[in-house]
Amino acid sequence: MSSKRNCPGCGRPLAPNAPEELCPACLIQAGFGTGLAPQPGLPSRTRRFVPPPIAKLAVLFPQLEIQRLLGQGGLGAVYGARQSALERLVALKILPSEISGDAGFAERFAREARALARLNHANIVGLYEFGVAGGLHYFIMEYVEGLNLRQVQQAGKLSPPDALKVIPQICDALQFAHDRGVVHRDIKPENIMLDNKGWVKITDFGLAKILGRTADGMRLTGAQEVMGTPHYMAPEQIEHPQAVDHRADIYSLGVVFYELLTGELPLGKFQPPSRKAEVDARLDEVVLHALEKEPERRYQQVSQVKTDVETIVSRPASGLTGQTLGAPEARPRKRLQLRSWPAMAALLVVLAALIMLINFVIRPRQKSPGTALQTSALQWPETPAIADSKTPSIQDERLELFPDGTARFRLHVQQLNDRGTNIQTREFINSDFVNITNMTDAHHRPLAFTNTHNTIYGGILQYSVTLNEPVPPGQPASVIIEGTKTGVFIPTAAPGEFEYSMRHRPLSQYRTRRIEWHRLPPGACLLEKQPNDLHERVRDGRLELFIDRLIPPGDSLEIAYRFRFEQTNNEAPVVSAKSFLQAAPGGATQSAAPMQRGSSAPLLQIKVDPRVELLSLIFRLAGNPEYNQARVDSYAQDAEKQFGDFRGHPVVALATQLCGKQGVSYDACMGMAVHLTDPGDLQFRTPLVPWPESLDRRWTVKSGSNFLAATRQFVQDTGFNVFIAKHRPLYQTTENRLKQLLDRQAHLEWFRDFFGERPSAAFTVIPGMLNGGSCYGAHFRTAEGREELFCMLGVWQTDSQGLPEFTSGMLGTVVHEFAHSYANSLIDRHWDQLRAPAQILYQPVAQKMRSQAYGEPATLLRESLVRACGVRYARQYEGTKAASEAIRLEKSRGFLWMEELSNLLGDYEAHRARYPTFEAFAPRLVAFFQDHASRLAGTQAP
Amino acid sequence: MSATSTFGEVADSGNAAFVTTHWSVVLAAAYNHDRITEAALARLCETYWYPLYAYARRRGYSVEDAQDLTQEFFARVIQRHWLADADQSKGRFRTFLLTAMQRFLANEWDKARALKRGGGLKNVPLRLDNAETRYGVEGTDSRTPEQAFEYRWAVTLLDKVVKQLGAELRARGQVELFNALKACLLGDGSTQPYGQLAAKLGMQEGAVKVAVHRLRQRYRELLRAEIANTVASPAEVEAEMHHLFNVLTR
Repeated sequence: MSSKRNCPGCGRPLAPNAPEELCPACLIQAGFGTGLAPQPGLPSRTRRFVPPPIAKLAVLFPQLEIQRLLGQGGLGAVYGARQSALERLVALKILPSEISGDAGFAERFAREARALARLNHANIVGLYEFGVAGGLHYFIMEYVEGLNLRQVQQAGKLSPPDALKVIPQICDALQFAHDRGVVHRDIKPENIMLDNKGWVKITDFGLAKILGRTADGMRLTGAQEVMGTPHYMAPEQIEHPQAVDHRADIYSLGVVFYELLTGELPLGKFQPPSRKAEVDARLDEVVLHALEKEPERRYQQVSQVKTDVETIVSRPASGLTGQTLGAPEARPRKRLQLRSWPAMAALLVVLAALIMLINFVIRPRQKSPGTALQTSALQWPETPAIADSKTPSIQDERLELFPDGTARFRLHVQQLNDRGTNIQTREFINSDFVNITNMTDAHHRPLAFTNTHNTIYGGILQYSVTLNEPVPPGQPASVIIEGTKTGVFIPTAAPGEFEYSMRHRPLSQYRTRRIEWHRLPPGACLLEKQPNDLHERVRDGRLELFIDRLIPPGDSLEIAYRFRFEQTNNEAPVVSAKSFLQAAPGGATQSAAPMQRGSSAPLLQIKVDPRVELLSLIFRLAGNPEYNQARVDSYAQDAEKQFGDFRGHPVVALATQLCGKQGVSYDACMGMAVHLTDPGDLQFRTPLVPWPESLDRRWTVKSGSNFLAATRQFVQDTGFNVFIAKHRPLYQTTENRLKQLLDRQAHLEWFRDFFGERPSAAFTVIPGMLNGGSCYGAHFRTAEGREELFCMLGVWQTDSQGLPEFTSGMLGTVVHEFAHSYANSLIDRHWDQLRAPAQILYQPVAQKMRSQAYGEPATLLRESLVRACGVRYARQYEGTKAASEAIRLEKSRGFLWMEELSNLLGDYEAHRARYPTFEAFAPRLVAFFQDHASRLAGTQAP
Repeated sequence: MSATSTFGEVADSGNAAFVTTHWSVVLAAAYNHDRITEAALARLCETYWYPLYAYARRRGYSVEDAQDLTQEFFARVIQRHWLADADQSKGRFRTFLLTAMQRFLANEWDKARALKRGGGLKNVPLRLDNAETRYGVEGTDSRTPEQAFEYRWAVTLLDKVVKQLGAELRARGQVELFNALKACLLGDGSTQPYGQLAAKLGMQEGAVKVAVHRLRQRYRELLRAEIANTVASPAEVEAEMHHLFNVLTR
């Protein structure tokens, strides 16, 4: 009787409680009448998703060799593929067009993509590219070969000690995301992958909501929709899904942690882990703290979880029996060694998508010699505009000219719906969408240009052009751009998606098709085209192409055309960092600027600094979390190999002690670094004097001197200088890459303009090779009174070869850190007047500030001022929209007065005759904070 | 056009039945206290408590706890502690129940358990005693508690419909016919040839065809009517059916 039966209809095993012994699946199917034929008028999301066959995808993604279907679910499919050009494996995630019925999906799709694109972290599955192809929303992502935590757990391969190695990596990834305003919102074992080297990779940020970045207050999760997996969800996430912050992730992490330790879920009145399994009782506190029902009582930062876990792991409990914790030599961030990983990689990431509006897909086409293009210098008459906002348009198109003879031009194509809101952005990542073949100046003289992808902006194509002669500031200049575009046009099987056609024929005949391209500037023309019956016109500055013949669904049409247009800059030329260097008085610059004139000061140096490496290393060994997030893997491994055994060195013990007792961590370590001479002969550059005259208040003269002596010993004992010498080539590559970015894109002249002349100041940007995502500002005054300003820029991004990579998103950090050297001293000098207001202002936002590691009222004021300066910078170089966005972001971080403060600085900018230096403006700033505080105190009074 | 008119028909007949169906009545009367509402809700709960019991079990609660909390939960549902929330739960009874249960387990169950013995809530007539037998028969699978809930919801709903269909035929003295033809509900591929069936039933083959056609037609009507019981408007019936299909074929 107990033998299992299968349904004669579908072959599925018959469920034991099947109604009248009839297969439930077949029963419900019978309810539809004629089976599951698509039903017009139905929400399309309810149709079943069938993963597209590989052959179809091969047409849509010619840049990929799609190898196999890794996994599928109701909401998507993941394929393993090889990106031939880059010789790497990728995961192609296809979202079904069937579920793209409601606008929420599009929103979520675009949002996840952006959230992911910003998360470049070793423990987060990376996003390479996203978009829409042939009606399918897709992601091309990092390929993770391994298993998810659920699978590992089910395979019984995860012991509590393993769990203790996994948790810190999860913490790293989450902290990184939280720092960028991204909350995962669905942390669970299924979303945590372990690759077969034992690295954690968190995936599926699809539910992430970017805090404070919700456009127009639009609710991204409907009030009634609770996104997440209930077991792992924080109580407040179930109650008020709208209002969750990063602490919801901390709760979910707590659930995962509990489950990893005990194999059970913390349901109802659950017992602490140590009562359920053989684990260190000290972990109970960590887990329970993460699982506090009230977010306020929970850990406030996920990095604190990591610190606590690692502290427990590194200091074995005495007198506890049955310990299974890591041995004393267990080290943080050690890779998890799992013995017999089955070779598998099936990662199913479930997602959602939306209706698709562009139905053509572009692929690089092999030019065969036989296909000569038809040449016809075409000019099109302007035809009356028809309201059609569904066409992609170039949103961000700008030619920037530089006095030193370079220009930049970039394309960023965006699509808006009829309400004007963005429903789709085509961002070209590693895409051969447009091929610029020729650029000339207005006199048709050829220009040198290079063609790069700027991934931080989501893959905007960016062209750097060298002009033949410098353009005087304020003068417009033109570049004539010629290019080709080749592609394959694939009609969709859903005719209803084409709502317009040139001749208004019934669309179901697939007779008339419009193939669109982006808006081209007025005067643009098409030079060649193929095939001949490709019709075109310009409307509203936009090029439109038509084919007037039958192209049945499933067939494809190759198209190619060559175009030309003229791009003129309409803005005042932008001055580059290079010209800032040239304009600076004194000395010679270290960076070999090609147009270096006279004897200019080394105003902007870019160099990896052995002192910074030394101190980062020591505090890394001491276990400071902020110095344990190195992203340059090979470098960190080398460091581990050479120095890993020195965790018992006196200087490491001293560093641990200084951190614990004096709070020496973060920027205090970097502040010390710039007070030192080169590690080859380690000394103080100037005698130590107590704070505030020099150093940082977290250091004392005595502790500093002890530290110096121990550090000197460390350098000798460990052969530190050999390590530095060995890595020179890496440093050089790093410096060159950073220099390229800063030369091209940083506007450091702003500092001189904004803060006033500081002729003796030297700016140095130091890539912190071991610092991961942490950046610091530091400041030193030489015995001669010369000032040195430092920006320690953590290296947190690497390319496919593991070499440091710098993107323009990091510019804001550079500006921020340098601004500190002006703002901090101003706040400090007026601290007597600012102390009381700072305390009043700090109180209401204390929690938010502490969650960003800003534990003191003084920091609040410093950060306020620096961030307001950042807003002014953004306003000047990125426009008012960017500035408002920055203000909104800062407000959401607790800097509630950002708008007023920025306006006040606007007043400063407008009256520079009255305020020649920033210091001259100090009284107004002091008054601002005082005024704001007294108003706040007033509103708080009964 | 034919597909559209099919849908139109369904919507129309659905409308006719809709006035008296349960969840829509409950929703409409969320803020009124009247007996009809309470009765409608009680009937829904009597049918659909089991999926929630299975959900609680799958979440790891013991037999005793799961029975207690299911009882407690439905007592509260019927006394409409949460009905004000119902209109926020996508308008479907299924989603409402699951969301409310999740919330209940997250926040109130612990407290409720402490007060339970002396609490003033009256019991709901749920046949909890056979719950574990039912649950035990089903064995284990890899579904999450949510999936388990949805799956059992779908099976419970189909079970009710098929039983109702059987009861109707039984009332007309056609038990044998039902038993012989019920497999035909699943489609032609899963049953014996009509000729064989006709011989077995002592009927003409044509008569069997007609009977099967009617049986299927009635089944579809009952199925849609029952689904209509659990959603807020006729427009949602089809979508809910697709949802159940996805749940069952996952």
